[in-house]
Amino acid sequence: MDPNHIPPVADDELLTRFITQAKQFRPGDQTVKPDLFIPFRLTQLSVTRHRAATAEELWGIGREVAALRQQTLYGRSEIRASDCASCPLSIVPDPILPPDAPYNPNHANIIGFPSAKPDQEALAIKIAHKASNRIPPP
Amino acid sequence: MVQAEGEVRVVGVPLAPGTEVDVTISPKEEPTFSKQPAYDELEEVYRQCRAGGWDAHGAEPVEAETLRIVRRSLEALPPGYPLPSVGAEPDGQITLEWYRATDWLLTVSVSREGTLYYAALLGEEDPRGTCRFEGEVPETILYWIRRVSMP
Repeated sequence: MDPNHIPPVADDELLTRFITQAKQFRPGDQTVKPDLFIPFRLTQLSVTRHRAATAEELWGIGREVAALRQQTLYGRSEIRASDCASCPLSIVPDPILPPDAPYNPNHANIIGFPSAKPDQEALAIKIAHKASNRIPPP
Repeated sequence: MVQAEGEVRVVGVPLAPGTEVDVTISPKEEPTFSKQPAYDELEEVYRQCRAGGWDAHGAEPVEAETLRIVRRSLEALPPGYPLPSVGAEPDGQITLEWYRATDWLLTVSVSREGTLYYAALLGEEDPRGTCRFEGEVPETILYWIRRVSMP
């Protein structure tokens, strides 16, 4: 993606959320848990837009994120923008450009999470229901 | 076979020698279902998440008091209720999840103060709320566990 021309997030775009905790998915059926979509401190959640990125580029970003945090990359889960942009949530581009790292012009945030914990949980459950099963790293 | 020596009675009725009797021995105790798997999972979560930043992204530590409350909650779960899976959240709360499908589940987040934040999805229903753990699992939580887990 051209970092100088970041378009708004379209409803039909696919977004990826990287899985860096073993407890964020269920080993039995590979579905992802709501925990994967719970925001912390800020009421927003970090995702990566697919858009023009290849699968290899997406995995490269995931590997960099995991390496930066010294964590294991267990995989990723895909969600369509329209499935998590329901009231009160919306998605805004938030490219990560040098000197910040890891470089990710496709970075975006899901914003607008309510501050009340049960409401956050309820939204996370609904997003997790729409999200893909865990896609393991190649 | 009833032997000739001594007298054998069944519910007070004496049996003649040579009488054949089928005997079934029933256990005195109700069958118990161990909660140990949930305790083990809880301990593992605590070990992994008791230091701040356990997610390498600024997560709050899971504190010993939270562990203690969750342990007591599991102990207080009445017999016959299914056990949850256990996880942790970046705010240091411990999550209990009762899961049948991605659109049929209940999550309960437990804070160190003993507050239970619950949310569920049962098809079109999405109940949520807050209650306190006061030594017994609140009836509201038990109700949603039954709804989620029992057909």
